[in-house]
Amino acid sequence: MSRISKMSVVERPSQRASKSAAVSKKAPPRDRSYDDDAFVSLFAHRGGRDIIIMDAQGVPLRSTSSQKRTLMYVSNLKPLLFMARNVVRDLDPSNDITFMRIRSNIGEIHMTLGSDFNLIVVQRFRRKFGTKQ
Amino acid sequence: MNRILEEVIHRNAPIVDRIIAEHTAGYVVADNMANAVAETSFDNTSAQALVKHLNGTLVPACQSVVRDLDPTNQLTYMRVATRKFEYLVAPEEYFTITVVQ
Repeated sequence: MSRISKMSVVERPSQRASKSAAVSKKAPPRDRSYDDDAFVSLFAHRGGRDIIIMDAQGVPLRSTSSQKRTLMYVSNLKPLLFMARNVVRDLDPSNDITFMRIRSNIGEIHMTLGSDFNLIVVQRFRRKFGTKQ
Repeated sequence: MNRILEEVIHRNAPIVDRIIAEHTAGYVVADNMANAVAETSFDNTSAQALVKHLNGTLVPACQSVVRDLDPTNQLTYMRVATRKFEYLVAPEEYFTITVVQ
């Protein structure tokens, strides 16, 4: 645990505050290996903006953004994800949604629907015709 | 509006053939005004069901979500992956293209 805070303080102090705030506000706090933080920092370097991990009900467990923004994302995207799952089941009852990807002018949102968790990843494009990296 | 759409479809026919020759199961082109199927490679009933479900409910919901998150933004492309298929939905100004693969 000390290793996590040391790494975060060196690289991203603001994110460290939000991460610890996020973990403390959303109970119960989960302990993960520090591979999780390496994953998050690598992903942020590649143009990823936010990662939100939710459980199967759609309750956010961990997030890389502030509480307000996470709630905004989740309250908008969670019904959409469940609606998409219903649409797919309507079209073909044996089919089940695994992944959903929404792309707009500004960014891209990936949503994964697993058996016991959901994952949302938000990516932004840096410039209009620049590389997304 | 339908006339223009038919012209566009005829002009893009070789592209459509190339898309179909790839690893796809089919496509549906629907016009947004009437929510009706303009052209499809499926049979008509399943194409209509596809359009009604996807374009009628899911695409406007996605658009509203995207605009809620950022009002200047708009949905350009959407991709729903299931175990069997993957639906690629591209809503344009007047029509919507859906490809199933």
